[in-house]
Amino acid sequence: MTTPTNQANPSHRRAVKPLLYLILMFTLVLALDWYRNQQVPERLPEYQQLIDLYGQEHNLEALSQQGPLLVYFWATWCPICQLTSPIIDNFNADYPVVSIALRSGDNQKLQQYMTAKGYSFPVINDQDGQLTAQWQVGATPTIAVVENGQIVSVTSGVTTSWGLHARLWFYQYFN
Amino acid sequence: MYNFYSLWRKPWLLFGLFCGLLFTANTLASPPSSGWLTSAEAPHLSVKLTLTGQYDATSRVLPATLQVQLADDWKTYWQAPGEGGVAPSLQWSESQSITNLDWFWPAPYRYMVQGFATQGYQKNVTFPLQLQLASGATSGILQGVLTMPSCTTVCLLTDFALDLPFDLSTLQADEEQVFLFSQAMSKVPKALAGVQIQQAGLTANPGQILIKMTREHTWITPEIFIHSNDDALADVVYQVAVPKVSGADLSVMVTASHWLDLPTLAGKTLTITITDQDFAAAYPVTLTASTLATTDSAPSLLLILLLALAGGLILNIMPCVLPVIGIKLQGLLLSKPQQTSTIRKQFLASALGIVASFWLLAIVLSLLKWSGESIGWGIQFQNPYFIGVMILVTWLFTLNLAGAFELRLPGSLGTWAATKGNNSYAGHFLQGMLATVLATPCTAPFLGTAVAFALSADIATILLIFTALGIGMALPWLLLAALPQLSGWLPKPGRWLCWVKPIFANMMFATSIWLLSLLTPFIGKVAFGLLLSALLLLTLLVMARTFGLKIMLYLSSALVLLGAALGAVLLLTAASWQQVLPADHSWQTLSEQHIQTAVEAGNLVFVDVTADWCITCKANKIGVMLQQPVFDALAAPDVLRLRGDWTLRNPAVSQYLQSNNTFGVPFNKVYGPAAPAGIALPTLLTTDAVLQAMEQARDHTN
Repeated sequence: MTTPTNQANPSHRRAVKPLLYLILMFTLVLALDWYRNQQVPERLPEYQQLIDLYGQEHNLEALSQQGPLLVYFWATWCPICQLTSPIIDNFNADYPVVSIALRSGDNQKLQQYMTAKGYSFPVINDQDGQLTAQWQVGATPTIAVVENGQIVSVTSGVTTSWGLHARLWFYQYFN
Repeated sequence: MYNFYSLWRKPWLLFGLFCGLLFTANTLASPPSSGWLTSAEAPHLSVKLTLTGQYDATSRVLPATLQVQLADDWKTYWQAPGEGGVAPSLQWSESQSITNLDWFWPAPYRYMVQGFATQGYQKNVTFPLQLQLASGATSGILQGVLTMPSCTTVCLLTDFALDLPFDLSTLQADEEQVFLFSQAMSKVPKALAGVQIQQAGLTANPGQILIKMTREHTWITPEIFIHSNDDALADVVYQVAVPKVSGADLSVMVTASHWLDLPTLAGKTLTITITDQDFAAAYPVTLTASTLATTDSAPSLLLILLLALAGGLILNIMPCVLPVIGIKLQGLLLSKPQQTSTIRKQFLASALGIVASFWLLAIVLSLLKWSGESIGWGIQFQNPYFIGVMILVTWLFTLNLAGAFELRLPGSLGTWAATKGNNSYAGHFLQGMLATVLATPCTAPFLGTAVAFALSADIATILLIFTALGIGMALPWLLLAALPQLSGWLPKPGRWLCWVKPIFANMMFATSIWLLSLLTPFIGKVAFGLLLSALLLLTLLVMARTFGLKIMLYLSSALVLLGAALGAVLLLTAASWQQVLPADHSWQTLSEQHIQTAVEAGNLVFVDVTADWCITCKANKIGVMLQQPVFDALAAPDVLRLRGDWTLRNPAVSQYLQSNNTFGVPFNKVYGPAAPAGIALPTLLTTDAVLQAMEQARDHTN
């Protein structure tokens, strides 16, 4: 004879499996991040004066003291950035975002591009690639998470909004 | 006074002299090169810029090659990178004595990166360059920065500093570099004859361009690439839809866009690059103003669905499906009188098998399209493993039809089918699937239009059109399912069936052999011959086991007779089925000795220097040399045909080319008593040029 508790048990057990998968995926993402982080410096590069297209200065050291900060390296000529930039633009509302556009032309062209695409995140024009080189970041798109002056995570390539949220949430509460 | 003896007394001096000589010889031998350059931040990328060592004093041009190697799935870009990306560039303004640098672009490939169509190269590519030397200069330096983009799901720009001094007095052509340059140059699309751009104009939709072209032969897997050298059109991205092909006609819709504002396109010149297997060509076109209809006179979806239904229906009478219809008919004729409901269900099962396999086709094609593969009707027959499985399936059906064994489903499947009421339904379903798969190499009237429309549409439309195709093909089955009494009109089984059965079996066996012949490009002619013999032998052995040796011997003699009869018929009707292009003449290997002897004997010599990788050579061969009247002119008894094959590096051929002051293929020349030094033909051969040169070279004194 079956009792209601007996019936409920298997469904509980069934929920365990996907949960385990979720944890596994999460661990994998973080492990992969950790592996990639080996190649980038832990500390922020020597003080860089970062002035965006509107003339406003962004001090990463100071900005990252209040919580995780996203530093987004991208380029107008990078096809995958057309996927990641809108995601970053959405994050701009919830987290501080500073973007560095790598070798993407002069200020006027970059400004036109930002307006045409409707991106509102602040952008610093790294026209000759000098700033990016100091981060030892070569690839676009690259998303770095900075907290308390430390680079805690670096991801290159395709990123989902989901994965980025998970990462930020993790660093906000467990680091 | 220093004499030679004093040199001997100082061995170190001699050694130094020797080393010095060696060094000079070495610098003389190999032209200036950057060597393979790499960068720590981009370990997947290496580049090498090398002069070929040639120098043309009249044009003052120094040819060079830029070799690029990419690891894994890294790609670099073409001059028009597509939807995202940036072309490689060389900033050479700091150079000395160089006034211009021409960069040539080999035909690109299209890659889908996360849904973005990009145009470029994977693994490796060699760009031919031409440096223009300032007048009066005898030496110079190619100095500057090469910026190479490379992308996978991430993108990098890598700078390489170049510093390449050269001196004309020590420059010497390097055979290997010359070969590399010509090979790369032959991959750069040119305006080959044979394709006609009939139309390139704007439609009423902003940015939409309709291009129509025609070719002498049918298109196979055409790819279209667009770019413009007009500065006003910089940064314009051209999205190219899947070309619509019907035989030799091709039309393609291109959508131009710009991240800011789309510049005026009317009156601007674009270059259309077309690749199709070995063929690659480029044609400039000037865009006409918006006079064209917004759609490519695209028929409505309803009309397309009707066409698909009709095309599917007609597929039933195409030769590909006949063997399967044979199975079906045989099953019907042999079956004991059954309840109409059983017959109805069997036909429905077959119809469902047909429609299901059309869905499967639609899904697989959609997936391939999404991953950026080139797709088309019947592409599965390009896969040797697929063909292998199909050979096995059709062969088993052959044996089944011949009565070697009864078709029974394996245990579990049989049990499953049994639970469904009658274990023959699964068999009928499979017959339906087989009919569809075998039908795909055939195209029927209307089918081409429907498939072309489907393949350029979204997944839902592909599914819809393929469903219509499936229903169309299943219509006869559905008709019999609706009116099972129709099967009562079929002739009653009798002794005559013993004669019909072998016919059906033979039709199916012919299908197996035809499928086997499709493997030839993958396995070679010898392996095909061996496999064919093995298949015939195996079939005869199975027959012998089932029916006894006597029958087998009868059967094999009948087969031999049939083969002979078939051969005779084919021979007699050769003219009507043979390929339009004749087989190539036999050619002798190029040698200067041969030329001289033949000319002294009063004969003509036609020299053809060619290479497998040279697309212009192929165009010349197909377009002129294998066409009348040139084909017959080359066959004349007084013509000696010599061919130099440059597919692989061949010093004799290189030397012949060099002695003719040329460094690339194709190269053709006609020698004769009236022209012992030979008449060089234009790179792009024309019938007139060949015939005129031959006429001119012939001895007219006697």
